[in-house]
Amino acid sequence: MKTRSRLEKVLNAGLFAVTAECGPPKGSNLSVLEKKAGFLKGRVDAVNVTDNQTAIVRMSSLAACSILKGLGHEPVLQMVTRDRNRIALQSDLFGAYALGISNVLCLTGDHHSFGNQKQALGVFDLDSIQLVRTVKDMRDEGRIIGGDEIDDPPKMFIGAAANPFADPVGFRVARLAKKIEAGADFIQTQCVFNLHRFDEFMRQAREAGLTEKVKILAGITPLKNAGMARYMATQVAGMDVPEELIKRISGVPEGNQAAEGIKIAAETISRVREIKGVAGIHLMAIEWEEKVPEILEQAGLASRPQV
Amino acid sequence: MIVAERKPIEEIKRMLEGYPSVLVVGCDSCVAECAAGGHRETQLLAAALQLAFGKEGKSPVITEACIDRQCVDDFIESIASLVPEHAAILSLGCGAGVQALARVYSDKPVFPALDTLFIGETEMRGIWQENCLGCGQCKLGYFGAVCPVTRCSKRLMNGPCGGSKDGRCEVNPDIRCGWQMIIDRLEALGELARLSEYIPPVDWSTSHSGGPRRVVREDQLP
Amino acid sequence: METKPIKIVVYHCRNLQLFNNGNQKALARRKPGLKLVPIPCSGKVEAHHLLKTLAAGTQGVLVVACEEKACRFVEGSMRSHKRVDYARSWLEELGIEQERVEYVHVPPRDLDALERLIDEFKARVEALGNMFSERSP
Repeated sequence: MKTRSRLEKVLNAGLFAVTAECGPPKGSNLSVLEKKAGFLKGRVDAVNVTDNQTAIVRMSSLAACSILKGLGHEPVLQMVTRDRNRIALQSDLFGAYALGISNVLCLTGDHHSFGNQKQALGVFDLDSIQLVRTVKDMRDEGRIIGGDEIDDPPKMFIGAAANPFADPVGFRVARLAKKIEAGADFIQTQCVFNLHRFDEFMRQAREAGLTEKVKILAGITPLKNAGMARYMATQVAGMDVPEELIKRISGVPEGNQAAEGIKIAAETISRVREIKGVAGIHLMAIEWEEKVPEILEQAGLASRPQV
Repeated sequence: MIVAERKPIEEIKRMLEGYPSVLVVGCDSCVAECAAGGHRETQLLAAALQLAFGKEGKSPVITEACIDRQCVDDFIESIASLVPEHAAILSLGCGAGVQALARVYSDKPVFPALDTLFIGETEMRGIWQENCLGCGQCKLGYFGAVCPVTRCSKRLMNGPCGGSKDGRCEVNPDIRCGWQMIIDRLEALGELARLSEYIPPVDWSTSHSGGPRRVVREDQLP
Repeated sequence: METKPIKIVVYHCRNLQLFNNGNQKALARRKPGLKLVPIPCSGKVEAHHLLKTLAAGTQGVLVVACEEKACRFVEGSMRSHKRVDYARSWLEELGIEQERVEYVHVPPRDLDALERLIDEFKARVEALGNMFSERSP
């Protein structure tokens, strides 16, 4: 074990891991977090807290992680390089570890032109892969960028993202290899809707020997209705929602579309479980965390193992 | 070259309000190439200002002049005889030109007529593309002569983000994905293997992040 | 009180061969305020010429070009058309009537057609009134 992360324990034990995403509130309202935490309690191995996702200002990921930790959750601190330079990022990593946080997901982040602060200065001092290496060097070498030694280095279980559906398609597995080489222990993928393309991505990853080196968690997002399916297909960068899926959810009466979306998500989970090299799922129920128990029950993942 | 665009006439007029005479000074280098501040644009702006003030019943003296390079003293001095007769200077140079005029003619108010945008190239007549940020440590050799610092909206150094689609950037489909360009070019050159190397964090101290930069060359000093 | 005739400037392409044997002077004499400026090709006209002409107190500027397909220099008429449009976009930004600058074609050697166009243009410009009110230094 490299860290004291519970997620690492689950994955190392070869158990099928379940993580879920939790978006912090657009303010300091603690009760929103408490409510979401309640839905996820006992259902997941770890909870990812997004870092100002889609560049919309929200409660800091670090603060929300600490609150979730207090509520008995295992948090995964999402960190984007869009808003903070290497001084701030490394400082936050010290702080996170001191607060008992042992998982970090290293991301570049959605461009600020998508959010509600379009006039902001984009930082991008590091990229996500450089952040991965930075966290690894902190843990394994006990040093920050530049070589200074750390007094009690943070020992983080290091995550990175992968998007099997973005272009240039031919470079996606090469980029995954680069993230692993830089030090990623686990990968959470972009939402899987196109199973065919995901299957192909995993086949290439296996052939390159990458599934031996890293734990890959397939991203799952339940669709609330046909409108959301269409929106994800056309308006969200890096998303691949096949036409047949849009047709399927549009084909049921409006009142039943949510149920159909949940059913699709549960089916997708069952399908990705059969793909060799998939070590777990990462459930991103966007502002729909209350449906997580239902999706997991339908997928036959009702309870979590004790480790 | 430096690429710039003219400011709205209203903003220019507001800056010049109250000066009885204005010397409008163009620059026939970079900003002429991007059709923002060369001799043509200088004549056009001078005429436009006459019309704009004329409409309000005002007729300040507006004189045009254009110099070959507004960022070099030898050229700036060519308008020395015109300066004392005017109450203010309006520069159609880039930011460097405006500041050089202000340094040389230190007793005159100097105003910018242009918004200076970037270092770029003329892709074709009428289209100018940013392609250099002046980071101070050229990395083009590693990336098939396509700059990730400039051409990637997130300045990524280790490959494309998840927002690249059909060769276009997630920020705006009018922006070409810099990483798609890098990959295409290296693939064509048979050098794609270059990209498997991990690129460590960039040293931004040689960029503007280290403060205003200055080059001193002993061999060039008088 | 006698009102001053309004100033109109006409830039016309020489290749239209509109004038010979002094009939240019005759036309100018018939139309006080009119100034006829021959140019080697309408493509020589640039936006700054047009704006400068207006800034010098002219109330309307007409650019008379050959048909675009008939341009002796191939691209000249196309260019002058674009430049007139560009000059008009400046007028819009300046809050001045775009109709004060116009681009027109006449058949070669058709002086009557030219005179008709000038009369119509002048009437439109007169209807717009004076561009500037009283001037003060």
